[in-house]
Amino acid sequence: MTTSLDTATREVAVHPTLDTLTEDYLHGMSADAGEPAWLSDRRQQALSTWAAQSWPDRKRDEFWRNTPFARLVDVTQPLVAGSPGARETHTVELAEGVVDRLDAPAATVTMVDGDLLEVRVDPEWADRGLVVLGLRDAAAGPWAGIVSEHLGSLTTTGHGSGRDEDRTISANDAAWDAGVFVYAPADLEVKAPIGIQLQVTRPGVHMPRLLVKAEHHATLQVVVEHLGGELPDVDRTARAKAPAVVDEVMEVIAGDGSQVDVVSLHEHGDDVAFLALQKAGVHRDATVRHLSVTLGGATVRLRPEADLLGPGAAAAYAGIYFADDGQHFDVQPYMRHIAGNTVSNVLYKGALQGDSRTVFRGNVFIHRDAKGSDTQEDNRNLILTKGARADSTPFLEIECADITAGHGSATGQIDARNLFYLQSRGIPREDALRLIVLGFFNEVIERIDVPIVVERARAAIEREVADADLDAFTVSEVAPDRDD
Amino acid sequence: MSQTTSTPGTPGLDAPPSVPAEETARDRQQAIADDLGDYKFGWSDTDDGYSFTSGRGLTSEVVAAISERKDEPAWMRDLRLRAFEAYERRPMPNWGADLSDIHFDDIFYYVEAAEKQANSWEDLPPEIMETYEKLGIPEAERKRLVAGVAAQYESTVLYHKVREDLEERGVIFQDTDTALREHEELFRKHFATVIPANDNKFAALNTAVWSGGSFIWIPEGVEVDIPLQAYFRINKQNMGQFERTLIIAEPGSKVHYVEGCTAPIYSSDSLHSAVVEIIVKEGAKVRYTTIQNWSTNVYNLVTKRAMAYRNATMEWIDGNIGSKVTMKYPAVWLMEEGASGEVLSVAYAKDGQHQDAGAKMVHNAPNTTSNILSKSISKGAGRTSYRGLVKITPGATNARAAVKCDALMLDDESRTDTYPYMEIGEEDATIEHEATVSKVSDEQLFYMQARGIDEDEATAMIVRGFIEPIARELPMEYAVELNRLIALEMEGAIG
Repeated sequence: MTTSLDTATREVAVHPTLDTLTEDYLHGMSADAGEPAWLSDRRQQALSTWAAQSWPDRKRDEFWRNTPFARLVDVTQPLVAGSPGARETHTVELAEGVVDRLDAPAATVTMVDGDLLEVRVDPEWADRGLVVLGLRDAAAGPWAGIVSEHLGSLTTTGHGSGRDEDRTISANDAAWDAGVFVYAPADLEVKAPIGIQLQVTRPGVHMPRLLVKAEHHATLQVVVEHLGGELPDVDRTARAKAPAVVDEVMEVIAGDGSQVDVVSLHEHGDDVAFLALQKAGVHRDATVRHLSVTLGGATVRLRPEADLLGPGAAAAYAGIYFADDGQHFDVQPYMRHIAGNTVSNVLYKGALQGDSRTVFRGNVFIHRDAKGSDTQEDNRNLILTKGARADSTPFLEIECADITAGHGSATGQIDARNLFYLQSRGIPREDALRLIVLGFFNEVIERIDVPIVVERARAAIEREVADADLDAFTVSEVAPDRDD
Repeated sequence: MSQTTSTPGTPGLDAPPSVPAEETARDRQQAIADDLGDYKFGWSDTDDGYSFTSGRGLTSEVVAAISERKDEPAWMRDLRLRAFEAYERRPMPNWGADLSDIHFDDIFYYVEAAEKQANSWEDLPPEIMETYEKLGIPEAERKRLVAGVAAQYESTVLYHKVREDLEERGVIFQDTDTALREHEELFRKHFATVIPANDNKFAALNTAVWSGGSFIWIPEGVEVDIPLQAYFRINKQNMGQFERTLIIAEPGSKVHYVEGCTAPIYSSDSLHSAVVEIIVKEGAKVRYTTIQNWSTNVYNLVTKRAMAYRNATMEWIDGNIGSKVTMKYPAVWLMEEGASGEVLSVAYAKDGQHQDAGAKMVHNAPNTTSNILSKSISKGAGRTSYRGLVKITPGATNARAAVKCDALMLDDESRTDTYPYMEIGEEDATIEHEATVSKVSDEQLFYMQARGIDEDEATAMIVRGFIEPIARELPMEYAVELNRLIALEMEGAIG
């Protein structure tokens, strides 16, 4: 008894949890990984922010109002990167995902449990200047200047809107483990997708970090896939909270006139709590499109954000989520129109069944100087069975009159008229319901122009519907999804 | 900060508090006010008429003294004291408007204007009568546009008249203090049942120190077909007004209650924190109309909630024109099948104002419906925020809710926010929310100017058109007043 207690104490000291980060640990980690001094200093800067903060509280923090952090996220889990066995050779079976099946990708990256397992770049694209590297390698090599300029510029170590980020972000700023750097030089149009796969095979806290920089008039398409969970050997019943926590930060810097597409897929098992900030700084005449497909994870809190920093910048963010029994999904797109003549378009569609809960918390902020800006924000929820709860809060904060803004939200159930129409044409009820749900999501799915991702998303929705108890689906007489 | 009058057992000190430094400031404001002369809503009377004040600041002794002064039953005193504890315990809201400039210790929590309630117009003190002449109350009554006028002068209702036929039909329309004395049983059965004493910090404060307000009881099946009205005024610097209004509509009854406010301008901030509770029983219908035009130094933090039972209808029509900061979200809790609720809200914010207004609809029963329409206008550095909640609790099947928010911005400095919360716990609910933000466009102005309408008038016409869906729901004289107020606020809108 005494022995095991001693072991535990030592482990906490050497391998901290999300709750017990220390200067010494970060220094040690930085030194072990051979990080340059500026990066180590930046981690310490974030640590001091982290130390001054407390964990989100639904009563105190408006943005956590609908997601009880303390109940869903276990901050006492050790960091996977620092825990024993991290450096040991072990064999794991990785789930297959879309990144493995991308058609002629420009690059693929596999990250497992806080380690960079593999980085592959198509030599042709590498010759033309595309850079895909481990973030630490980039920070220590010839790309140090660019990494140093942009890493953390949109979060707590920057000067922009990320300064006030909460502790889930300062923790990643301080202690991110494995990272990826993607860079497209000016005018390079990378027509092929870059696939980044993040796998969870061990319990603990995973803190991936992604930095994407497109120079002016470059084009990039990044597919980020989150897999894993369903961990063997982890006693789920003993813990109320998910034994694995993924606390991810992705920064996208879209230079003047560039175009960056981000597709983010979330298919964790039901023993993973996933928190992600995927934030873009969009400069003059650049366009960032963000598409998310959220299907797995016990808890998902996804924050796709865009700071529209230069005139003519545009953000088109869309996503789908399908929540089942026991899942809690919180999707919080945030558009900040800082410069004039900027455009944002936000559309999220969700379906719920069983005892599940989804939260849509959309925010659009239009700064005083953002004259001529245009925003449209929409959320649609389809509640399929009893017991599910969908919260929808599409916010607008507008400081400038000379703009166009609209938002809408609708929550309802399957429209009886649609069902009747399909059945009257001889389509059995079950097929008709499947078609209606697929049709509901199609508006978003068809925007994804990576065929394998479209295929996978459709298959996943079909599977969700196939697994569902169709008899439990309830049908309304009023269209849940109006087109006005 | 608190004055000697707050000592328990000696509440009857008649002298108004004399703070020389404040007197000078007040004199200066009075001089400025005199100079303004013709400013329509800007008079203030001297403070000679105050017969009792609680002094500045609040302690449990002050709360007990207020209760004793009013000679209340023990249960009310105990409720006030419990509410005071809740008030001290509850945190300030961490959302919404900036309340950091309220100096709670500088506020008078209870001020009495005269010893007795006047029974007829002639009994009113001349200075008060003069103020009411300016407000036009007797004129309105002469025209029989109002069914009864409860004129509230600071904390004590002085003048109160209900038309005789209403009395004959059993309608009770009294100030809340009188109702507690004369109808204690009815009062106690309903008081603080809709909004409990610890509901939120400001509802707790109101429950601790409430004074005045209206009490209305409509017997079963009685339909009051002309609006009941009350006017409220704040006249003493730093004086908080804490009216408490309780409306009970028995099954099948119907009433429209109208409340309006104007207040003189003072330089240091005043606090207004009312509580309005409404119980709409089976098949009854209540409409509550407010146009709030507090002076722009008033913090207006109000809790308004109605419970609507089977097949009952509750409608709030809420106009917010004045005040420095308003936080007000009239709520309808739809408690039984077939209940319906509606909120029509219009807000106008100019320089230095923040109107954080909206509505809450809580669907607690099947087949309930709700509708929210919000129109807000911001001008100069004014800020309007729509903040609303639609909640469908599990079991409230086949609920329907629609929310529409439109914001009009008159210039580039203004700010408007939309914070709609929708919490949906039942799969067959139908919820829709839409919002638009627009500006008076150059095309619109050009069109009207081409037809010989000058820019100011064209803008005013666009604004009138914008609020028309709400203005048309108001009683005639209120629609006129709303349009007139907005016209006043609009002066020089185009710089």
